[in-house]
Amino acid sequence: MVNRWILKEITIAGFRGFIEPKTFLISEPFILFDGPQRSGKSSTLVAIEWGLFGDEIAKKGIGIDERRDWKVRNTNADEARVEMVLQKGQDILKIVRSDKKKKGTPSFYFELNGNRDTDEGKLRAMLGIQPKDFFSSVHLHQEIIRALLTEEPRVRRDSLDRLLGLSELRNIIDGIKLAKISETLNDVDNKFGIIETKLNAVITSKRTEIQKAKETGIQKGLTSNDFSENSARRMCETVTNALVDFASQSGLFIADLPLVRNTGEQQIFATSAKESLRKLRDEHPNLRRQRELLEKQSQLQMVQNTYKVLLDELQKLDQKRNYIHRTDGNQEKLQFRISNELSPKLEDTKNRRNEIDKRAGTIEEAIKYFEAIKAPNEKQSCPVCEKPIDDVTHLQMHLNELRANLDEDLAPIREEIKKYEKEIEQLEDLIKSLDSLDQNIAIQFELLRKHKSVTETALEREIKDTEDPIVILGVELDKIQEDLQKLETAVKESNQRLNVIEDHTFKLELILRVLTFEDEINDLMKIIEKDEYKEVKKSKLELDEFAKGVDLIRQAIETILQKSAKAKLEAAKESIAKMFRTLANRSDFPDLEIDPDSFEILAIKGSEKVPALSIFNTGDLNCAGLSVFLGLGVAQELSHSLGFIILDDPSQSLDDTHIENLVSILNSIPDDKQVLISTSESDLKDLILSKIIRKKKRYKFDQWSDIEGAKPLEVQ
Amino acid sequence: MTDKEQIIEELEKSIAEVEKQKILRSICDEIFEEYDKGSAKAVSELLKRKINTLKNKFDDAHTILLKKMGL
Repeated sequence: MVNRWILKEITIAGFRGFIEPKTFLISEPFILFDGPQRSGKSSTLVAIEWGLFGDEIAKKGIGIDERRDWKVRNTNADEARVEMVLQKGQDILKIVRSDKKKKGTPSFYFELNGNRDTDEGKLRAMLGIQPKDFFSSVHLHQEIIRALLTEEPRVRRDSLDRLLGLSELRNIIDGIKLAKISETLNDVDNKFGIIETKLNAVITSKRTEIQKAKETGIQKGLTSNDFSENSARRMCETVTNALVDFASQSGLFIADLPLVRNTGEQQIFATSAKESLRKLRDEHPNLRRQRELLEKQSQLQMVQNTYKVLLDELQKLDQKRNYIHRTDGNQEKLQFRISNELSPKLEDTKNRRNEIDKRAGTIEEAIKYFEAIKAPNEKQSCPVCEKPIDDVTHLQMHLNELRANLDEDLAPIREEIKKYEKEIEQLEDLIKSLDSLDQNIAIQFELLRKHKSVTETALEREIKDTEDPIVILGVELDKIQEDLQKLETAVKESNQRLNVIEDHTFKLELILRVLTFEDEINDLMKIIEKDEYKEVKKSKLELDEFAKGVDLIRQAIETILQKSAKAKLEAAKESIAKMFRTLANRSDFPDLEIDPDSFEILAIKGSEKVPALSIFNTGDLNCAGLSVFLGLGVAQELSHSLGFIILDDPSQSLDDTHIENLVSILNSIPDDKQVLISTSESDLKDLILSKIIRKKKRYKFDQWSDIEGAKPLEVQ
Repeated sequence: MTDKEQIIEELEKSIAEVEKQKILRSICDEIFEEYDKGSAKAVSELLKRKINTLKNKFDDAHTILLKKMGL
């Protein structure tokens, strides 16, 4: 026991099942805690974990489900406190951890040979163990054993990793895998591959453009030999000469055209040449004069047309008025006829009608009177003398006869009145029409007057009242047409010359397009010689190198992990098998081993190896778990510095024979491993007391009480 | 011999070039340092940072090249 830390003393107060402080002196190589269930045995063992690792032992990552929502401090205590003393050779290590009800923050410190420190990491480094590994290789917990035997390969592998002290390497490998470097590499490879694809696509597109430009050029009269820099230069010279000649002959000025030593300058030249062409078309006297004449022609034609429309309208109105004057006379004559002829006749005829109407009026009143009577068969009174009238109907009949006679007399008179009234109305309408015509003719005259002013502006001269504007406009238009005809030949010639230059410029542009695309294709073909390409390749190589390096590191870690696992399993192989043979005592598959490659737990019979999970029952699996734990736990190759193992109620699910076998195994644990064991089984307790040959110390736990808490008693 | 020392020894067996050995040892040291500080996730983050730096450098060069190609 000289190379590892063993427990010498532990004092527990206010922790879980403990209320009052209890001290255990446990320097013997075998410590037994026995007593009924829920008496505080497990709290004692867990206090060791808490003292070493604090609240971390209750975290989810530890993998013990029953520790979720764990209460560290006993509800009847103000402080949970654990003090431990460990010894390794001459070194004494004291660890103190507490959690007070009021102050909140748990306190912790340790003293190595009296030197105090509070760094948890330092303590773990000194003990060479992390909480997870403690559960697997120091403190046997049923859940950890179950993880060893689970059907989930990852959980089984993790559990074995912990037992073998390989968790760190495995975690680093997982971290390397988690970085997904290969995904980044794939992405980079794809992008790098795309460069060539895109390159080909661009070159193909440019070749298509070249083909199109050449086809257009050949249609315009170029030959395939014309698509060269020399030909472009000659074309530039042709365009320059043509432009300069045309400008000088036209008395116009054009800016100097740029040099044409290479394709780039020739492109600038083509742009300048087009600009010069535009200028010459704008400024050439004949072309400009033609544009001006055409504009004037259009303007005068519009003025003339408007004039004609206005005049035409005026003539129509005048013709209408003249017709009325001729047929019916003017307003005065018409008014005279109404007033002196028709109105008197109308008046006279109306008087005659009124004479007859007087009588007719009386008869009409009488008829209306009798018609108004509601019941004509009743006797009525005379409306004048009020004497009764015997026969009203008869009277009505006479009255109607009289009215009919009078109507016969009135009919021609009425016709006569109607005739006069109609004639008067017609004459009045004619007067109105003449008034309207007079008004419209006046408006039309005003419009013509204004348009005359517009015409004078267009013609730039005054038009006398004696002159006909339409004719003047006609004369002017004839003159313009004459001028245009005179200009036509000169303009045609100028345009032809400019069109030829424009055509040359267009051909030049086609040649330049071909040359430019060819240069670009050549550039693209040489892209791998460019610095930009070299930079991409270099950065990709750096990435590949890094990824390759990380992969080599991963492979090296895998190799060391495998080597380490194999070495440890090889070292523990015999003790695992021996413990299983003793503990399970199966005749069919007496041996057990762990495959160092697959981490599979195998049941063995001679040369036959079968996965343990496929044939073992629960009791056998527990035996297997115990054997693996104890076999590895006692192996000298364990990586941590703790010299004790803890078995909490290890006989669960074991029958009497298995329990006896377990005691035999405990006897076989090397002397340099201190064993702390708890049990509620009296059979196991008795067997330990009677069969374990190592020096022992026993703490017997009485039934736990609410007031006192755990009540351990040292039994001599 | 610690695990890390064994790993470095293993790496030196597979890489002959001293310069490359130095680089790998340096990465290895960083990985173990990062693991000590945190966990597998910390190792992953470290490697991601490193690979992303190189990836960004590649992407920048790639973009410049594509521009040069007229894309």
